[in-house]
Amino acid sequence: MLRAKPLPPSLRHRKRYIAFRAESDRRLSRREVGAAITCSALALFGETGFAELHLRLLEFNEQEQRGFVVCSHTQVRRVIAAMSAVSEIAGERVHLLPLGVSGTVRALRRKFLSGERGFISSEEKVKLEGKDFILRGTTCGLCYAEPVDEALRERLRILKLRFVGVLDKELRGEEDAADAKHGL
Amino acid sequence: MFTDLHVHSLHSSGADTPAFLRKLAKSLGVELCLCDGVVHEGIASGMEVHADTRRELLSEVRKSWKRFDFLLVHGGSMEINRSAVRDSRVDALLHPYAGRKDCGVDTVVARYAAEQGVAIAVELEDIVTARGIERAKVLSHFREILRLSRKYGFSVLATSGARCRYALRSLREGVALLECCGFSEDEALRALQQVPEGILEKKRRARREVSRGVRFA
Repeated sequence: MLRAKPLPPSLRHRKRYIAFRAESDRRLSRREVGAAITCSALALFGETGFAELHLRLLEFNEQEQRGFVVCSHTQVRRVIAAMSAVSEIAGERVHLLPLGVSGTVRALRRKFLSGERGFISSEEKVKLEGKDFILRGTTCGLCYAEPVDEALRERLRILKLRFVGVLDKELRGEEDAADAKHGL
Repeated sequence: MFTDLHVHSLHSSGADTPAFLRKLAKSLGVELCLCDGVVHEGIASGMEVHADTRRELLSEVRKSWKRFDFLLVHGGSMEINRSAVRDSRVDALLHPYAGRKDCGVDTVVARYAAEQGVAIAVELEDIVTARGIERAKVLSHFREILRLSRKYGFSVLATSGARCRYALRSLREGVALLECCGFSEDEALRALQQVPEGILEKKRRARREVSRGVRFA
């Protein structure tokens, strides 16, 4: 089969790779994330604007919920805006947080996508300010708890969320005086 | 660092505890200020005033302005928009375009805002959550506010308007979103960093005053 001759380096598009992390109350698939980024960029910049971005989702690790997109080197800001404008996927609130920009995939992996991101699932019953919650998961000291209280569940439903964000210190009843004092 | 003056926690209409938001904001490089109408230890705390009439607004402002680090007014009706910017105790007017066809800032509001040092706020959450024609309207309102600010010289404040952890935005995202509304990089950085820092500094200075214009060195 006849294959297209590769363009000489001087004629190739200059690219930038943008690493990002998907944050949501459930695990997102690569297909959902790719569609959300494309739709957002199309909605924000229109078809002609989207064509200038040369935007494509190259990789998305569903376990770690991290991945990267490739785009034209002049359009990084607009791609970040498009990713930032993704507010929900399948009726649930999400945030595609840009981690960093690089000119090569190798540097991007080394700088922004190395290291594991652990998420510990749980079913523990906890109390916070006298209200009952079921702890669903913990990552880096940040806990996600499902409220039992119906009024709070209704508030979360309006905000398109499942869980309340709580610090593990709060659940253990520890008061970090230094943090409070210095506003950390 | 992006100083975000309009974030709600579990204490008002938000979904996360203040400590959780503080840790998350730190990881995003954001200085968090909560707008719950509650004074939080170690976090700059403010209040968002909702009022239907001028009298109600003035009464709320009188009650709250000394208690909190900053005072924001939820705009919308022209009566509230004008009353808010005429009062120098108010720090910023939030979404003056709410429920309106225009951006809610006319030449009168713009002049008063510039004279009294009241900032007009644009919320990133409004761009992020709106879809289709609604988003186009929001972007158009932001452009109009920016155009009037260039003409009359009032400050434009950018806030996330976050009610949950996924609505917090980093400085980089804030600049990128504001550039979609016609802000230059300098204008975006000013709206995200210098204007909110100025608001907090103004209150700190006012608290050091023994009486109007007299303060300890």
